[in-house]
Amino acid sequence: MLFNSIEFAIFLPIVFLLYWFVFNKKLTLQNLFIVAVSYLFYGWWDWRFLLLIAFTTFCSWGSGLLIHKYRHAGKTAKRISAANIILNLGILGVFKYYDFFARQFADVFLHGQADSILLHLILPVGISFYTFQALSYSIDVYRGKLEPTRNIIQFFAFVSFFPQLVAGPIERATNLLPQFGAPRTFNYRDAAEGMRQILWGLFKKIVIADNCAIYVNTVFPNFESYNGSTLLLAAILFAFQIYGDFSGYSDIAIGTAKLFGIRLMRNFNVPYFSRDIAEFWRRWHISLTTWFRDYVYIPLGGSRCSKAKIIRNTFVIFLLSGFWHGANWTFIAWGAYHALLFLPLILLGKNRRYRDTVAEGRMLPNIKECGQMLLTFLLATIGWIIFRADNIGHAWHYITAIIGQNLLTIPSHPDPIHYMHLFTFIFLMLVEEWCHRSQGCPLQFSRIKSRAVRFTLYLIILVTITLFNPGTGNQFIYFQF
Amino acid sequence: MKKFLLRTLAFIVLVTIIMVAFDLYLSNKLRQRQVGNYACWNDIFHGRINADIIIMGSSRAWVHYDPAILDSILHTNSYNLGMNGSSFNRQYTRYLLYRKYNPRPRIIIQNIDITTLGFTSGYAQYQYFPYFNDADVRHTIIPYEQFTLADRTLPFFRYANYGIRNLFFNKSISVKGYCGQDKSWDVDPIERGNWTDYAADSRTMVMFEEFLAQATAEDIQVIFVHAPIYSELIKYQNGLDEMWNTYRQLAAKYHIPILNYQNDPICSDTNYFYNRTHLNRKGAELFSRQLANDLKKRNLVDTSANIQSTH
Repeated sequence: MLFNSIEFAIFLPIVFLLYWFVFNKKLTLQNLFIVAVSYLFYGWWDWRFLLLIAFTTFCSWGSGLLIHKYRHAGKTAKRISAANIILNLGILGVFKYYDFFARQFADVFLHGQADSILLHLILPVGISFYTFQALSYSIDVYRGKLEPTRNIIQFFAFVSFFPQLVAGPIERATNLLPQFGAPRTFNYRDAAEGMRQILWGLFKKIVIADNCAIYVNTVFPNFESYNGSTLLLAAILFAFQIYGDFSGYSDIAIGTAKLFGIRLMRNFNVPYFSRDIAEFWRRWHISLTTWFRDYVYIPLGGSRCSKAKIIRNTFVIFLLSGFWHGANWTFIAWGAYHALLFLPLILLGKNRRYRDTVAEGRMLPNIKECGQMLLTFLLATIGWIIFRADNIGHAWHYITAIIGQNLLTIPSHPDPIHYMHLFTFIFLMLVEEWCHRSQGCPLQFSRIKSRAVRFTLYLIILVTITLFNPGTGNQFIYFQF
Repeated sequence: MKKFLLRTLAFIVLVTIIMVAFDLYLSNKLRQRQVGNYACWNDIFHGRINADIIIMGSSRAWVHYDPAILDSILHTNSYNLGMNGSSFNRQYTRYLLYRKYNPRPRIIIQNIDITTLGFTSGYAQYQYFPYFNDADVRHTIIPYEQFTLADRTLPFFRYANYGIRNLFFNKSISVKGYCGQDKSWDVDPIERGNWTDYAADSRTMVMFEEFLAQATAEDIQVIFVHAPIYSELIKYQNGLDEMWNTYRQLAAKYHIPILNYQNDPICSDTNYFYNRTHLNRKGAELFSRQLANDLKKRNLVDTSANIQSTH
């Protein structure tokens, strides 16, 4: 079930009303209801994979209890934890990466004849997200950071909670699990904030991302036919597409969770207002970045080790992060590219320079900040070309074609009026996000005293979504990961 | 909670009112449009077609038969109701709506081919959007065109879901329903495609017989015409004998003449086609002239007769 579908528009109010008016008497019942509707939500896409998610959840829950039970029994707890990690990553590996490695193997040993060894498995939606979420629980229990839960329903609700099940944020058990253990009361402010966040998420997905996709999907596959300026414009629009798509999804997920009295972690924090690439990575897909930081980077020694190890650790985390997105060399190259951008900052000890919000306390940034943000955005955009390309060769030719083919000409646009609208909306999105960059939630029109005016603004946004829906019914990009 | 629900409800009511207004405005705007798919529908719904001859069929009718040429040779008033991407089940619903709002024709040229008796639905649904309030559209078209419940019930939803921008993409100009294509041949090898197997759908067969019986009862002369398709394609088509048997049996039963242009020299010349199954404007003009002359020669069109218009 897609967030931007009519099915979800029917599903959400029904679930909301039942949750607060029918199943609110008892916490266990409410959690059981969450599990049931989450499985319905997931099964709407393909019910066959419900068994897989249930199995993964059960194993992680069981391993948590066993790890805790044998925590003083020598290496048993470690073995159980390792077995659970291998099992989870094994399932993920088979579904997501087996065919990729089989193809590489066939290229080297079978003269490219891979057909006989390929499995052609369907990738279960959200497998990378819920696997990592479940893994974090058992690792935290093993590390003694978390008491395991005996309540299986709470744990199933934690792994399968429908707003963030298929594309995150990848929640930590330390944040989300206790929320399923505590009684929830309806809070008007949270619910209203949630509604605003859903509205803003839909705007970013439908108006920004889906409209950018039209241009991007035309130019990227036929890049040889376009001049450099058009290619650059398509790359920039892809940067906004992927941001609108993924942060839009996250906004809808976080907003929906708020309607149910659950607070999810922030996944995007205005990443395109970053002053260097290190800040960008503190603001982009925060739940994944911090996951890799906490469970891979720091255990490897982080930045408190020799320079050689810092270089190794940086590459490991970025390559893994790239590979997490999918079984394609382009994702690995994208990770490597970001590692190369990140390395100078970390080696010079400048990676934590910008921990505050840009132009804090000021209306506008200064010239230096503008330049830094623009440069960071351009560097990220080059990365997105690699990310979006079909293969490394495609990415390389695309980048060289930008420079080589009439970069200083007017980009071609089949429908100028449409693109004028699109750029206006991108500009308005940036203005909105700039104005609320220090706050966690968009569309906070608290300075506008008149309720009627605020109401009208929300109506205008909803009408804009309706009128500028390109009608392509695009799935969320991150569903494929 | 009460406050939240009341405000949400107020928001939904306001949005619904706005969407109803948008729906009415856009539907009205599209009902005035004279390009793309809407041109023919608007002629039908506004009762602007007062034709002696109507041409029915799929895209092969739409791009092959030029009414202006037929009229210049036969001294008649003809109109092309050809419907892109449609088997007879869709052509029939268009015909029924045509009959509701327009006078009875004297002659119907029914283009026949391997796809006519199949069943199509769900293609280019947007062409029906502005007419959702028409009772006949609601009963004869909407149930068969794969519209979702939301499309059918929520104001403006069908437009928003399809993308308003996309509604205005098709700017093809039709003249009396005919849409000549200024394209040249773009297909090199004649490979097996999806246009190869004859299959009659039982629902379409019922409609087809109903249509022929009704035309006979109303003294409307139906003429079957197999318009040219590129000759090489014939080699890859299956079930042609069965197809012709069906058409011949129906023709005998309802006294319908058949004109088959499949062996015409035009069929082997790619200068007249833009793909395997469609003539370009040059080919369509040549074919229309030939058809008009054949109709005249065989005395199938009584050019002296007056239009007997009845609803």
